[in-house]
Amino acid sequence: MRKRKLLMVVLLTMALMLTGCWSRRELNEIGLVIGLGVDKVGDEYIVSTQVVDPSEIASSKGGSGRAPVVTYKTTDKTLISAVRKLTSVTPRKLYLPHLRMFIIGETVAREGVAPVLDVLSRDHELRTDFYVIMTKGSKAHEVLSMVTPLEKVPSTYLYTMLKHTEKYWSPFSTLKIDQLDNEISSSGKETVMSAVATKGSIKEGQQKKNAENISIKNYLQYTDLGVFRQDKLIGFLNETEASGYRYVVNEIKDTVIEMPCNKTHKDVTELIHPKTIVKGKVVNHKPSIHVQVKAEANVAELQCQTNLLDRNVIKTLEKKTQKEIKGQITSALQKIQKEYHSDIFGFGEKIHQTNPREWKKFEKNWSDVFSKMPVQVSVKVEIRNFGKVNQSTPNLK
Amino acid sequence: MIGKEKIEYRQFAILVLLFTIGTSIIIAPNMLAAYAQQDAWISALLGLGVGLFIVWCYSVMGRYYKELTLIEAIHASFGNYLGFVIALIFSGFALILSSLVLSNIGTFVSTRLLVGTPLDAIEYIFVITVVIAVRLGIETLARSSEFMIPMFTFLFFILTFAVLPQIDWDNIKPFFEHDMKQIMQSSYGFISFPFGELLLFLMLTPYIAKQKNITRGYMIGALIGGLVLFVITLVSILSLGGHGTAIHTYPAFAIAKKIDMGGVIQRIEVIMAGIWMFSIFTKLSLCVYVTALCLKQLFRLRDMNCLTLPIALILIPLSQWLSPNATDFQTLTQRGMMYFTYGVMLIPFLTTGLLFLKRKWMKNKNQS
Repeated sequence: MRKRKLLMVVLLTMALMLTGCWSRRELNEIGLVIGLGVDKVGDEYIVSTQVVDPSEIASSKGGSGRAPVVTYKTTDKTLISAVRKLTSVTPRKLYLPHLRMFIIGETVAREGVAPVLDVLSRDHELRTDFYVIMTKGSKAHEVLSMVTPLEKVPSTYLYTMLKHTEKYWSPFSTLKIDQLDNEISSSGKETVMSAVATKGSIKEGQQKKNAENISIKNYLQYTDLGVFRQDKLIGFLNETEASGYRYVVNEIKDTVIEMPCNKTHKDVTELIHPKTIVKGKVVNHKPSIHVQVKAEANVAELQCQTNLLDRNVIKTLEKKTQKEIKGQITSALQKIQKEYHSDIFGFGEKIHQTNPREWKKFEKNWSDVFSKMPVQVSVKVEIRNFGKVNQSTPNLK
Repeated sequence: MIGKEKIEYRQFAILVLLFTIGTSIIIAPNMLAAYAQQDAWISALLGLGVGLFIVWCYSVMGRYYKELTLIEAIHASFGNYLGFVIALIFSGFALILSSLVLSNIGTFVSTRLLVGTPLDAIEYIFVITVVIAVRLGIETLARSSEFMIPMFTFLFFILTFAVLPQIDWDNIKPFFEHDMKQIMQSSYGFISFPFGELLLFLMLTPYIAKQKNITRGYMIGALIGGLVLFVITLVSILSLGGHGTAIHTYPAFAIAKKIDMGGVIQRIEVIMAGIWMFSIFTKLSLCVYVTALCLKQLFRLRDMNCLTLPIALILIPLSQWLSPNATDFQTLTQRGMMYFTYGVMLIPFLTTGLLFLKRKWMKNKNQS
């Protein structure tokens, strides 16, 4: 009996040592892919893969002077084989789960993004927590090879930049792969995608000394919101229109509104907790939409002489803020309905949700119906606070 | 004759519960959403209603058979020859069901968790564990499942609550967009799998200590199991959308992957996979146990344990032969199994009817 117990103990200890994964990969053998970019030349995709050099990121002494990331460029007809091809240039097996940014070149976006998205939702290694963006004017591999200040890894730079701009500045939105898939396959909601552009010279931006100056000349910036119909890019919204769009889809979390107070100066309010309710209805087989925006605001900056203890002043500020927001929404609606005819607001989904039967009739030529559909916009802003002081800073005029 | 093993009705309920959840928890939302998309939760409720009625019928039959198992009841009603054929079909059903459950978990692990590990290696390890469990008998199985329930419940609630931030109520609208036909079409599969399959428990009813509690155990197990499946389906639709649920092979795993609570608690899908590891282990063990019991009674063997290893050895090739690839499994195999289950579900009804007439006839004969 004792012998048997001993045997059990030995066997169990052996089992402990035998654990391990069949296809294990050690940390020093894998290359963490943090950004992927796709461009197209002819019928071949150029895949740029940004791989992190962990020893350069982690070391506190500044590392050995090598670049913290490497961006490889490979060409092939499909994405997955282009990534696999990389094993012939890099000593490490690429590891995809830590991907942060997927960057689609403008050329690919115009031709249609569906072919490059399949592998992203099919491959078992990839998660769904990375952001998808597109480039405007430049190529994806150029964006991925810019040297960025403050953040050593350009993909992380783009990732956190988008995350913060989404939260504190109105025009740009994050987009994840599952949402993108849903929007492309849905007929009642089209896609928009934040577009990044390179400012300054790309050649200089790729040099290491780009991050050595205090004033940065060559940098990356989110500039527009790309508008898609199905999976093809058809145009861009500028910052104002993009903000208008994001009010409608209830994505804005915190932003500031500028409004003129005289010919040269402006007042600013800060919106907190804006909330939009979109209601769709169909009367006499004609769809219509009502967009209601409700928000609280604080006074953020005053350039004109104002006494904030006057209730009328507050009322005027509220009215002006409302007018400004309404103007932004209207400009977005105008551009989309008159020019792009692509239902990025998801009005179709709203009609679908409230009137599924009627929706069946509209679905086939929705972009026509959408373009002619009346949209009513109402905005209600209430100012709550005015900051630390109750008057604007006096000037001697 | 039944041996000395006895289980409480509570243990029976837990076995039914885990069996119901079994493999359904990972693939039922996908099957339900295939036809009804965002209306799948209606199909789930409909299926649950009909399923519970069928389970109630089973339990009444189980009480009627008293100390007979289904195989013995078949013998008693159909006689030796016809009875043998019908019992053989039933045993075949149990065997095929076991192999499908095995292929389900095997494919899941090899495509989602341990990619690169051969299917065989995963299936062998699973089958060995199951064989050990089955050889220890139904009492041990029942007690171990009782032990699993708290962990299962805990993980299930974590999963459900952790997904709540990802929920978008617009995903479920509009209600009743699909007509009754499409909604019913989704329900058919849900009624047979898992509720129809619960007829395997008619082989175990004689083990229950107090016969009058059979209905209670059966119904409570199936009801809670069905509700768990309903909740998972609902959560899948709410977070992935109707279309998303229909295109993901394993929606439950897909929603577990989406868990992200404040950027702190994330990437815990493998822990969540524990939920279906427990339930699938129980389901597979029960399937193998019932298969062995069927064969034992069919061939009038004295011992059941000699059958477990051969069954286990058959299971692995059988599972790979029945579902050779992912496409076949999601289409042909699932569909074929549905019809097979509906066919087999007739057996206890026919048996009971015949037994009832026979007993009545005997009574009349005795009286006259």
